[in-house]
Amino acid sequence: MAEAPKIPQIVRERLQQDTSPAGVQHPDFDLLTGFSEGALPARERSLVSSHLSTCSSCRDVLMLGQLGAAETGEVAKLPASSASRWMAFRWAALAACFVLTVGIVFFERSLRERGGTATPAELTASAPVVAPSREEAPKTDADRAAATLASTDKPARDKLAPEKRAQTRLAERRFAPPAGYAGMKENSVGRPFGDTQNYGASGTLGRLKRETFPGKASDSYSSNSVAVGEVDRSAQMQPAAPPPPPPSVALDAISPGAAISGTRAKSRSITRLEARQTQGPAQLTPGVSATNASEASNYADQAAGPGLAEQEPGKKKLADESVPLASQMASRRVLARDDKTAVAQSLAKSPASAASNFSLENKDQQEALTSNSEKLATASPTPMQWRIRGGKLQHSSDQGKTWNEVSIPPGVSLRAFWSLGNSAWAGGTEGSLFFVTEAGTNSVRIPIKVDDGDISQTVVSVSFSDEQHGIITLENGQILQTTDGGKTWQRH
Amino acid sequence: MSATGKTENRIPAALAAELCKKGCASKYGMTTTAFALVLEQVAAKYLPAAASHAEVRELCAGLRVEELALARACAAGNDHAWEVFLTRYRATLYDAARGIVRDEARAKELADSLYADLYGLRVNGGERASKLGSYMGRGSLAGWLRTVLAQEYVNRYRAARRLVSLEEQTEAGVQFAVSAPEPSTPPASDARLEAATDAALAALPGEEKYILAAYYLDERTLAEIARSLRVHESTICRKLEKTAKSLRKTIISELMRAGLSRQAAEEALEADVRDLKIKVRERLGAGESTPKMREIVQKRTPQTFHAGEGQE
Repeated sequence: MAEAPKIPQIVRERLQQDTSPAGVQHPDFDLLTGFSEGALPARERSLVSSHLSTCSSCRDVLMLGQLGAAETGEVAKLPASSASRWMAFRWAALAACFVLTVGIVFFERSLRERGGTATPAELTASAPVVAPSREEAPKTDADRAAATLASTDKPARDKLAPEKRAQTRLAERRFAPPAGYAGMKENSVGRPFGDTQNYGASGTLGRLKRETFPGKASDSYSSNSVAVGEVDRSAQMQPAAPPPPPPSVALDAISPGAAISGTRAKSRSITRLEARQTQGPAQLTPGVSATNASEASNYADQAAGPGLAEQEPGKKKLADESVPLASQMASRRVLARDDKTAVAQSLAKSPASAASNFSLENKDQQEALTSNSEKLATASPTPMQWRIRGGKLQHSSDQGKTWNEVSIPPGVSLRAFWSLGNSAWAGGTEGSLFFVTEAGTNSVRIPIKVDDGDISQTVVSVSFSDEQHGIITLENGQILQTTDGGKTWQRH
Repeated sequence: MSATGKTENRIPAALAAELCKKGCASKYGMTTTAFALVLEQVAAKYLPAAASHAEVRELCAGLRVEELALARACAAGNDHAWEVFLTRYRATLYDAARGIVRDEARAKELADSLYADLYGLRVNGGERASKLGSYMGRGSLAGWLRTVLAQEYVNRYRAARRLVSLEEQTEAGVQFAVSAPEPSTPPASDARLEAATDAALAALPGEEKYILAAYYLDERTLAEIARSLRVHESTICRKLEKTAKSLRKTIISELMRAGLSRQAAEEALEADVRDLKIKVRERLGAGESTPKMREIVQKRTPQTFHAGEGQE
């Protein structure tokens, strides 16, 4: 604290002369106490302070009383001075600025990672969509990884004129959901997912789809619709693309291939319905009422808007050609089933592409999917179905009537899996990753080794395009990729 | 008092009943009427005769009625009230005494002596005179007890100083101590300067004057003053700085009004004989040869320096 100013000696002496006036009535104990406790009204306070300024005896009593208060721990709580209030406000303002700056930096970074620098208009348009949140964090990482995986398609996108690219990005941000949104949309009929592990994988697929099919979306539908719109533009701009292999259509696929193969869909559920319509008459699984089926059909009919044209086969092929990995991965993706309800089965032309991939332990998710699957029940049995229950991987070869547990070492709790028909990849706690083959009878633990040692974090998401190529997401958001069936892993 | 000698009721009955209930006076055997009388005493002491209802209400609202009821019940000799009082305030009183005296034994003695006064061992006109009967509830009872304790300590200290025997003084070596130089007759200062200073001090608000006196005369710390005024230490520091500046400004303007030029007024304030006397004494005591003193001498203007020497 700065040294107090000096006063002229004459002032000191005159003050001294003022002190201890004789015959003056001293304030009583009550007034002195009230003064020291700030309990007196202004008038009395002024009188007492005037007296105190001239009476050293009363000043002594007051100060001694304060000493006693300090001893008893009854020191008055001092009100915060304006200076300290300002200090607090200043720090708060500083903290707010810091948070804002960090937010902007991260936002711009995420935009750059999506490709190119965003214009202010894009920033404005996309700001509410990509606003980061805690729940979405793992999703973003998964998206990033998926985008990397799909980078083989980036050149096609880069071929677009700059303005077209900007339009594409803008369209993606306007219509494509933010990180995490794709996963929620997957069961758009029911409630959104709440499980991070599923977010990661589904977000990956959503991102794959968006990254793979650049183009200006022409409608304001959900992510799947955007994907279709993007496919349109992409196909139109790349007429010289070689013919694609026949698309594999999964019942629950959110891949553009699936969307293209059927009528246009508003959501993923609708895509499933459409896929079913394309494949032939619906086969209701046991436990699903006809009412539900008809509701589902109605829903599908409503979803196919008048402005949505049928995909031309050529375009579909072009699109599939441009996204081999994404379509393969997405087409294999099927929603999980619940024990109590009928199961929405994947409709696959090849056994390898039809598999169930996600098992949901969360009750909300199960309920959501139950309502979803009840409406959208389809037929076409699959050779093998997989799910996770109680941290264990289970498989069924009789459409979910009976489930057999895959033998895994005790103490490991599985969180996510990815099926490849009769084989599956499953990851869980303590960096465990298993490759299950021979229809669930044989499981091999694959050590996840990176340059700086083994991974011990929980695997929250697993995605494989085939037995050699895949990515996993760890609980800390880290993405690892393998191209040799898990022998080596690279970070992203 | 009215003309007829009958006390006027300044506290409305409803308000008295409400405060009586709030203070739980019945718990200590006090009736509403008895408590209303206490309230009347308080109002008579602190309110002017022509106080409005609003002032009465304001006063009553600030009263510590619960502690007031307890203290008055103790003064009246209610056993339950004494039990409560001792339970609540015994430790507080000893701690406060320890804080004031800084000596365990003397603190206990001080607190015990106060207990005697509080209980009312003295009898006035056949009635027990308890010190708690003078508590009016303007501040907390604990604070009031501390203030009473502090006053008691000051009284004892003064009495003890008067009672120091010659033997004790001899033992303490008082007679061998170098007597402080007798202050010479205060040099005749400029009457105009004195008048200007008095006027400036009179114009200061009471609180600022209190801060000046506590800091410069009693040499209290900023923290102590701040605690007594329930403000932050930095507030006192700022006020002190501001007051000193404004005081100087006011004195200079008063001197200018008295006919001095600004420069002369500033010189009169700066070159006050008392200041110079002290500075010269410091200089002589420390020795001019020290680097610090040389620095001081160099800083001082030759004019002031010579004037100081001349005065000394």
